[in-house]
Amino acid sequence: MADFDFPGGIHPPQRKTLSNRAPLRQAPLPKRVVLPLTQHLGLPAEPIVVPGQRVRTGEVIARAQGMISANLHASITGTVSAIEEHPVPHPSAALGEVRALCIIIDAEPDDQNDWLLMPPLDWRTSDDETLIDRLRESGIVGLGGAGFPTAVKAQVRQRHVIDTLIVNAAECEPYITADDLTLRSYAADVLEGAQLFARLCGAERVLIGIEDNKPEAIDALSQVLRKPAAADIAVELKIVPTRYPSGGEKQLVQLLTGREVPSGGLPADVGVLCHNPGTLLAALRAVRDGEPQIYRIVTLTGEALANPGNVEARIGTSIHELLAFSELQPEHLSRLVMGGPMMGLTLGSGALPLIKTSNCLIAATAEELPPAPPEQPCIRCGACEIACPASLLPQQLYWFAKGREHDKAELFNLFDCIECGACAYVCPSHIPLVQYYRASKSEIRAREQEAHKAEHARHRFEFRQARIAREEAEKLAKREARMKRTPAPPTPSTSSDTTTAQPETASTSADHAAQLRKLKIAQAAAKAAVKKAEKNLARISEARQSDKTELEDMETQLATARENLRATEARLTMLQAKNQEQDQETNPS
Amino acid sequence: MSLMHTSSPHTRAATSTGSVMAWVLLATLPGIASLIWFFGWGVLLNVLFAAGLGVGLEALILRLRARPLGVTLRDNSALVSGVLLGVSLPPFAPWWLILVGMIAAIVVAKQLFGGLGQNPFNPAMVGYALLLISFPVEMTQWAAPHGLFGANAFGLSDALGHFLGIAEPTDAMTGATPLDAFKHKGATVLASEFWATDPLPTGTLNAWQTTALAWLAGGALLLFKRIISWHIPLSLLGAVLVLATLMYASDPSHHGTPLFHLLGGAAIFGAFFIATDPVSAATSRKGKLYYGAGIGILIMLIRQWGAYPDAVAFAVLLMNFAVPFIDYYTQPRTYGHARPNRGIKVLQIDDDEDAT
Repeated sequence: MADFDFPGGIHPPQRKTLSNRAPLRQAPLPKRVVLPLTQHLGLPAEPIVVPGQRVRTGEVIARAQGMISANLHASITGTVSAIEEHPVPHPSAALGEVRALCIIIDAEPDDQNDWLLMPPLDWRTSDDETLIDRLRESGIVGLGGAGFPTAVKAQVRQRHVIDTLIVNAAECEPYITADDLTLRSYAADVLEGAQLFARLCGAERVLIGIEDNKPEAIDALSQVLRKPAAADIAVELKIVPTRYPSGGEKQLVQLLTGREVPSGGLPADVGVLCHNPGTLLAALRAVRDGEPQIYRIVTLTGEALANPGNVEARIGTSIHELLAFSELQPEHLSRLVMGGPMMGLTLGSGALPLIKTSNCLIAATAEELPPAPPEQPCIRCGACEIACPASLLPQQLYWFAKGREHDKAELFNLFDCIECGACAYVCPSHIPLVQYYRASKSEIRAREQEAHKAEHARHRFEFRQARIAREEAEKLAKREARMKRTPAPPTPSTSSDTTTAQPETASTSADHAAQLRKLKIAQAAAKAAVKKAEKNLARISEARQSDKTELEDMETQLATARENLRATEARLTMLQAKNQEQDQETNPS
Repeated sequence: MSLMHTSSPHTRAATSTGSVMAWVLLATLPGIASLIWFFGWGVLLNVLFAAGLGVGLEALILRLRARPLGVTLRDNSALVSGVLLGVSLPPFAPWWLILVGMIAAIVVAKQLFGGLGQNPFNPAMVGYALLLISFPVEMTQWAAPHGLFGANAFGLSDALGHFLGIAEPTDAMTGATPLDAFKHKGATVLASEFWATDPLPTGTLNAWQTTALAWLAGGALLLFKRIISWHIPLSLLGAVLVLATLMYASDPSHHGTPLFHLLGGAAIFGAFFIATDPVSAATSRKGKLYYGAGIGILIMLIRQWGAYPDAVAFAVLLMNFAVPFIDYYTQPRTYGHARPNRGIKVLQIDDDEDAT
């Protein structure tokens, strides 16, 4: 049992038996796959194939771009027929079909099992570098839902000290049984994958968090755990009571270790790394068998399917085909959900591809997931507060979101909301609370971007002003110097400067001393500003989430400060030269 | 194939505001039954008329505000306000008294603020407080516990007479409430002497205590069904109990016993049915504790030093004022934060940014 607890949570009907009775099956090989270039967090992958090119199963067809990105591989053998925009599953699809660039491959009619594998590695004898390279090459992303590139996560040691690796097998959302079936079918491989990651991140222990509603998976795991290898890192099976959202990353960290991920931070900040069993399995296969990520286990469920269950399907397979394989009864289908009923997203049609992060497809009937009843006024009953696993005040956030008081919503920690939906689930007034929070969050983000833009423009403007001022000061200084070098007879037409300088020279030298002092102070201030800007820049570029625009801003600010310093120095030298001149002039006389 | 697009979550628990309110109504039944049993048919007339007026007035205002009737009326909240005001009124209340009270409750306190969920003050208590200030004679004339079928019991026709204002209650029918009688015992009279004189009609104390226990039973149902949380009732009754004990311990000859304060008035009813009105109460769990304790303290202060013998309505309304303040200062500690937020910070908008 778990040693710690998290607040709130709900117990929605589990509905897992719909799909966890049938054994894991192989979905038929698709005739055509549609592979979006963005199936992960970060920049889209860059295609390296052209239409008409023949590709083999497992061949890289698009390369990762930048630091956070993932490779994409051909999931069937065939010919690239097109690289074009195609509808993809996306959270904002409710506002209209979302299209993204995809590589489309048509299968060869005869031989479909022509694989291009990487050479197998023994992870126990390979060094970290090789393993991380392999993970990067294999295009593996977190299969739990976020799709964060696994190779990036594997380098966590560069910045954090990790003591605990958590295998997140809680699978707390109703309906989904993909992790359950993964563990039942490949418990040993998942555990070996966990060992591999524990070594990569330097963890001293592995904790497997699993809800008590998966007895068969627990059995399979304990059987493997009974005969541990000598060199292995200690693994502990932590069976937690079934309660949504115990599988939320932050909640599971709290449940198993008692630690809280700091607001805006990562589990790595408290020495924990979380991985989904499917990711561990994929990683092990990539290393041990040289298989890139071209298929995944997905739950096909819902009452509109006559034959629900879990299948191993190629990435890019049309969802329609998968549902047909599970004998979809289209006349009963009212809602198609990708993911779970609590946090999943609805799909407008089945003509979308299966992507790396799709863990479940629910083909629900109208009785099963009925449309939401009309929204009624909030009576502040507090049911949402009791359900909230993040200890927020959902009803207050709702009022602020509805009244567009975004600053107050932020003060009430809106951005700590994990959008688990527990509040909306229990709301007796049927208020779509999460929808309000999402709207509020996106408005705040848009406003911040706007403010950032204005700030950026201001910095650019200031830099320009500083540069002009500096150039003028330098020009003036040069002219003065030139005039000094060529002591031309003072004719009235030479320069207005000299004429205006006449009364100045006549005036007391105390004036000059004051001016000099002023300029010296300005010089010191400008020097300090340069130092400060340099420090800021260093700090920002060291920070983990260094924002590109922020970096640029800092660079501009530093340049501005330098311009100011140069301008002041130019004025100072000019004045000093003038003073000397005057001294020479006045002394002989 | 085009399917429904919705925002997650796609499933929800089978609860509704209407059923929450229906449970509250159901939980008032033991208390109402007890009141009728001891104080006669007048109570029933009050409750029915007030509840009917609640729905009628709500419908009228919704019509005037051009809002849909069906959904709002089905939330049963006007019915609850009506029932709660109805049980608070004296059994001889004439119809116009109830009408004035319900207009204050539904029209002024609730709908003028924007309807359900928007009212800062408890509607039933606004109605009650207005009546108590405006019509002190009618509002303080409580009935003697003659029961429904006792020798001196007045029948349904008598009750109807009082209700329609064509008959005045006779002295034999009326009686003070225990709190009222005790408050006006006089400074020179000791508590023991006071009780020895048998100051109330026979069975009055018993009637009030039994009714309080009936409200407690209803409250237990609400707690059991998780319609309300324990925070407000516990802290309210706890505060009353602590203060009453302290007072009694300091001077038993001039203060009621703690039990007298708990069961002699509307403390239990207020704790479970009035103070727990979610709309006008504090929202966080910690805030609810402060809110309930504040009401309990105010009840005891007004009972002791105020002009009114019982003080649930005023105490609740006063604490309603404090709710936004309490809410800002009792935020829970959010996951991943070292400490909870306190108060509200107003972000300074820097207009002079360009000038510098």
